[in-house]
Amino acid sequence: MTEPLLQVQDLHKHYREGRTTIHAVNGVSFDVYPGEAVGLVGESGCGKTTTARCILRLEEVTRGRILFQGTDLTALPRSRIRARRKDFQMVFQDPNESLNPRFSVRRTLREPLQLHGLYSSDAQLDEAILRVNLEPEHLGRLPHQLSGGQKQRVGVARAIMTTPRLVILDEPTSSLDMSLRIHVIVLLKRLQREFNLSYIYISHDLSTIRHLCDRVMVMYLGRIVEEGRTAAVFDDPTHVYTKALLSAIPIPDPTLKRSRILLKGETPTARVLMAGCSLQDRCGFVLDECRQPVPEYDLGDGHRVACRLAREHPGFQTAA
Amino acid sequence: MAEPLLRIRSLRLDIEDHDRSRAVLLDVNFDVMPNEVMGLVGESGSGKTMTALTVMRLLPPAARASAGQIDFGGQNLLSLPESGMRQVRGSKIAMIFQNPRAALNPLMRAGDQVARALMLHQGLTRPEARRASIDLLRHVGISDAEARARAYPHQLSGGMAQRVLIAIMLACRPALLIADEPTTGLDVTIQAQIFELIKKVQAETGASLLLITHDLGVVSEVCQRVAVMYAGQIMEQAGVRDLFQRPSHPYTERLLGSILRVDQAAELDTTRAIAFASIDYDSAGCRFANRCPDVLDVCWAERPAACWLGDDHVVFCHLRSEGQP
Ligand SMILES: Nc1ncnc2c1ncn2[C@@H]1O[C@H](COP(=O)(O)OP(=O)(O)OP(=O)(O)O)[C@@H](O)[C@H]1O
Ligand SMILES: Nc1ncnc2c1ncn2[C@@H]1O[C@H](COP(=O)(O)OP(=O)(O)OP(=O)(O)O)[C@@H](O)[C@H]1O
Ligand SMILES: [Mg+2]
Ligand SMILES: [Mg+2]
Repeated sequence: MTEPLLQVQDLHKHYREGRTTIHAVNGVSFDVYPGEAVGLVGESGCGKTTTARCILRLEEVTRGRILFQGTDLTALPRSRIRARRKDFQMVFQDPNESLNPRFSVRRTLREPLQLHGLYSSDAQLDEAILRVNLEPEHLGRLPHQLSGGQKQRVGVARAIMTTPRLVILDEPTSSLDMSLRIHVIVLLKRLQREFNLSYIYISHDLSTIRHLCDRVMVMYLGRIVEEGRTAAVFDDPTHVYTKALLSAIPIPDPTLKRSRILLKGETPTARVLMAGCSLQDRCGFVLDECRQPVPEYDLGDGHRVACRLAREHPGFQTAA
Repeated sequence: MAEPLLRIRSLRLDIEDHDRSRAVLLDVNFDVMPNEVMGLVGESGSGKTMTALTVMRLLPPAARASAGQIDFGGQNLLSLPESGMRQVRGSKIAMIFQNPRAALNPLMRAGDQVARALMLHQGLTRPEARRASIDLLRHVGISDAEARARAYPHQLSGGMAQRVLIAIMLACRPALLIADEPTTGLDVTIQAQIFELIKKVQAETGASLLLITHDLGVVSEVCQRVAVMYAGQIMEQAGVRDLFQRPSHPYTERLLGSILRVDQAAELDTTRAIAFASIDYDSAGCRFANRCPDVLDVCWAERPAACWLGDDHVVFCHLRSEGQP
């Protein structure tokens, strides 16, 4: 089998805030293979962006290893990281973080090419801007002269300029209408096929995840609670959090009345590390055993779930 | 029918860009009725944010509202002096911006920003406002609100920053809330919670909401009426059920046709999307003509007139005015 492009091993990231600690990420491990699109979904504040920032070394990890093509990025000096930036790129959740407010779109797109000696002519920039359904006239604009969705598309165009190996996209299409979203997904899929690009796609837009990603990971309070092939997780959600999440998606049909699995109360604070399942106080199916550390159950074909309900899943009996 | 709370008529907005000016909004008409949720949807770059900023009179320097009027509370906001506008902004019309972090003050703790709004708009004293701000933060689903209130914007996740902004807006108790994609970046469970909250506030205060969003699922669940915008023009406006059941503008049809549903996995290709073509802002005809699959000769030459398909369903399309169903 091929080697993974990226291996995240037991990643922890804690922030100090005054006298307390925020446990933003608590032991996340996963692999991304070349040419694979992996979705990362989960509640707001569960640690998705933090995970991404740790992978790119925009944050120092508290514990854990990040292996990119076998090299541990957490142990590399910063100067060496910069040289490898060509190979991993990020589209930030806040487009203003991807775009320098004083740079024209032209400069934003040209700079990564020049930095890595890939620039030959401005025709490359025209092509790049057209790929995301903007027009060459937008090259002359500054970020504040673009709409929200236009800025987002410039962010995507910039990230793929150098044809990296891995692109982490953090909510890259949240300000796009559905039609443009489809264009972006189709573009990403094409690059994935042509250049064997890998993606980590972070989004609350589960329908985009469903159509783009080969695998999906569901995060809750700093941990991955369910992962598997996208179809398996969406059609057969097993963790109570995944079930609640999927049942809350608004469906564009005003005549439809749906039943939802509602979680009780609010997300607990990331200040205290909980023993056992982090959903225990909000779950309608909670038993005493959920207050003990929860093992990860294997349902076959990479579908793994940290919830006791997985034992009732037919896949569990066969995999065991 | 009741008087509209907000009435926009023949609005035109020109933006200067590299010594050329173009009508980024042209002949925009729509109403927001008292105590309703009105949706504004449309392509990225079609002018939704500009419409909202025109109402708030917070336009960038390059932009100018050159025609039309915006009636609110018996006044035309476009001719109000800035001092009068300051009294409207915040206390009568409040807006949640598309980019939450940019709208928050980076140097001020989240809780203080909510408390300040409470002092300013509800006349609370500082200690009262402090207590009420924690309650509001909890209300918008921020766990551990007491501690989070002390965080600066950069210490909050994207979705938390968004909710702080919603809390500020609720603190203002305005008659009209304008929310520009208030729940992007929020997961669907919190999104549902926020809309419940907005509906509750609406019921309590009788406020109206103008909701700008790309999420047609949200539109279908929260809005009573919707306006569909394309290239700075309203293409169609209808009650929400009507729009979903009887989309009558080719753009609306395409927009609804491009919805991806989670409960349906499909092989994806761009035939589901609207083919891309640049927008001709100088066209004398319909701005959608060059992307319209059913285009007629007249579409290139003349702007379509309003065609009423019902009391509250209007479409701007030559195909309809030519009498086709
Ligand atoms: N610089 C920081 N200092 C302190 N706490 C932080 C900092 N950055 C993030 N956090 C906290 O870490 C947790 C995880 O944040 P993160 O941004 O990773 O969430 P997320 O999953 O990306 O959420 P969203 O979907 O809302 O963007 C949150 O509780 C957040 O408040
Ligand atoms: N300062 C500016 N100078 C020139 N053009 C501008 C400026 N600001 C906005 N525009 C243009 O005005 C048009 C309308 O922008 P607006 O922000 O209203 O779009 P939108 O419908 O909100 O899009 P999105 O859904 O992507 O946020 C866009 O085509 C944008 O490029
Ligand atoms: Mg985030
Ligand atoms: Mg906008």
